[in-house]
Amino acid sequence: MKKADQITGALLLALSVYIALTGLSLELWWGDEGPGPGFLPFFVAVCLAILSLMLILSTLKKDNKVQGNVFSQEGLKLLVTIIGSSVVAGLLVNFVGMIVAMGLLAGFLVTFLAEERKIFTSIGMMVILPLVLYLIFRVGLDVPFPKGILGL
Amino acid sequence: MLETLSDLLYGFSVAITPINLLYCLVGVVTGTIIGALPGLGPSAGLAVLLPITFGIEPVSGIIMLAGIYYGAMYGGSITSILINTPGDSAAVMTALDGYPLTQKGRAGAAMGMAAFSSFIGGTVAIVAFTFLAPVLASAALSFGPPEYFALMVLGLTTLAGMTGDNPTKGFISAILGLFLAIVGLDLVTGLPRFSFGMMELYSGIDFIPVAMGVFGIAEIILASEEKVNMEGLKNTDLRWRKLFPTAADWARSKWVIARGTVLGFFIGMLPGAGATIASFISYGMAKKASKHPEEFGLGAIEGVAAPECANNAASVGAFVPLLTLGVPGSASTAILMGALMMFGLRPGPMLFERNPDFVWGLIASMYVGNVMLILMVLLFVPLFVRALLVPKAALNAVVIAFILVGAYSLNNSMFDVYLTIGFGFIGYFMKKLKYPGAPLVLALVLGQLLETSMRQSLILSGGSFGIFFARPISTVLMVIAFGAIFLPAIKNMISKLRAKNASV
Repeated sequence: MKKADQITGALLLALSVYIALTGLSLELWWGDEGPGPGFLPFFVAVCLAILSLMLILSTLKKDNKVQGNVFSQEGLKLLVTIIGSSVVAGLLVNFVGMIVAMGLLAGFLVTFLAEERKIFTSIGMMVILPLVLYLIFRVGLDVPFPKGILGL
Repeated sequence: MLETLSDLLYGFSVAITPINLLYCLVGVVTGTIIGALPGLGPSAGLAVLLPITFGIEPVSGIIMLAGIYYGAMYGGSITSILINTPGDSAAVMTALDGYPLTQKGRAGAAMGMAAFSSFIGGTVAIVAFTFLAPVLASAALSFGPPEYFALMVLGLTTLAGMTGDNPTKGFISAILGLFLAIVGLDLVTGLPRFSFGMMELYSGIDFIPVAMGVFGIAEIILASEEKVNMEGLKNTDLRWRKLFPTAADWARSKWVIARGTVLGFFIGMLPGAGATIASFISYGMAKKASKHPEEFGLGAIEGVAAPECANNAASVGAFVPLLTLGVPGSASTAILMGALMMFGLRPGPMLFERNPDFVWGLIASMYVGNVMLILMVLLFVPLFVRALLVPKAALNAVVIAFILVGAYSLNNSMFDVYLTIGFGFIGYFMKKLKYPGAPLVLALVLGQLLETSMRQSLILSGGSFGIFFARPISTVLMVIAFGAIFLPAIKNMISKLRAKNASV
């Protein structure tokens, strides 16, 4: 945790510098009219800089109790798979349409996440979920879904 | 008083239409199921299901969302009691005695007591809310931009300072939320800020993709890491008869419920505190006041009653600042506020004057929803438990697909889908590194209003910040807000001094 706090602290500090510079490039103050568009960004940057310095300083104290790595291999694998497959499904929407892409995503996720894989559950998910989504969002709420090459 | 009663009657005429009853029912049922899923609490339930309400009438939409909110509040207790896995943080205390009761074969009584005390806590709090809200709203009518600015600052600093283990991280989360709120065209000048030339960012970052990512996707990834054994659910005896607590249970719990309800309601009204803290304090109080404190943690029925009545009363109390002042104090109420604004309604004192059908319809629906919740629990608890036996992988896959389609339906744009996935990714790291998500979402929802009220105030004062300290109400609010910033540091200093004195 200590190292993670130092790294995030440094990243946030860098972000605050960027926000401050952008804030300064917009106008901070207008004569009598009070704050301009750059004022709040600049204020946010100053606060963020102070807080990230506090975070970094707190890791230097000796009594920093939290030790050890908070990230597990298993957890990161889950993160990459769930986020990655969601992005891929997003990209697939342009080709196969929303309904089919979500069916594929759900089918993949249920197979990947399940403790005991059952082909029946995976296929059931791929068929039933798109149908439910179609009924709720397309029919019920009239959301125009992108259609794919299959016309779905 | 009479006026309030006639307003309430009018509210019932809105809430008891068949369509609104149906939305209330759907909200309560889906809320209970989502709340029972490990990791997903009321904020997740609201964020995930919010898109469904876009196409419907605002009053029906908010009735459904309110149903999801307190359904999820109750749902969290089901898995707490049956398998010792709290659905969300407000149900953590319920597991302490709820699960030992299950082990003793009294799962039914624990579930019943959770339902009844939730119902009592919720309903009494709604009665208090009914009479308190109009008074507060009319007092708040005199508020100007400086008071609103001070109120929002107060809401943000208390929430940031009180959630999570490390106040510094809470404040970082709030500041990042403010930063996200700045993105887009400046309302006064029309200049783009931090939009990197992307058209999609000109209109700003919507809070819904952020909330769905941080509370939905990130929580699902985290919950998937943990292996939860749902097997225990299969063997519990939840026959109808078993759900009614015995006379002895009631005798032990009645004062606990009375105290917990009052406490929960008032804690819920405070910005930043909310249901989790209410349940902790209520449990602690019940243990202290009990004649058998040694039984707590081993299956004392009042150990289930105390946190459950308090967290439901608090969830109602949290509506008070939201509806009367327009300043939410928690992640869930921040999402509700965002939803109201999407419906084109601005929460705050004027809401009571301009949209009485909406306000009173909502209040009346909360009475109806609570009755519905307890009836459903008593009649269909075995069904809810069955729903949880569906493999967790399937439920999680459904929720993720639902989130992504919901994100798309916001503006019919894939950009929101990627934004949601991106915040799911960020949310995972936030959670792992102990940055609370609530201040981020609250700051994002309040950001634009905060900046507008600050600018309006400073235009009034000719650019002097003294205006925030020139009027009594805003002065008091600002002082408390600053107090909330420095409180953690002061507390730290005092405890260090004490430790020093003790060692001398």
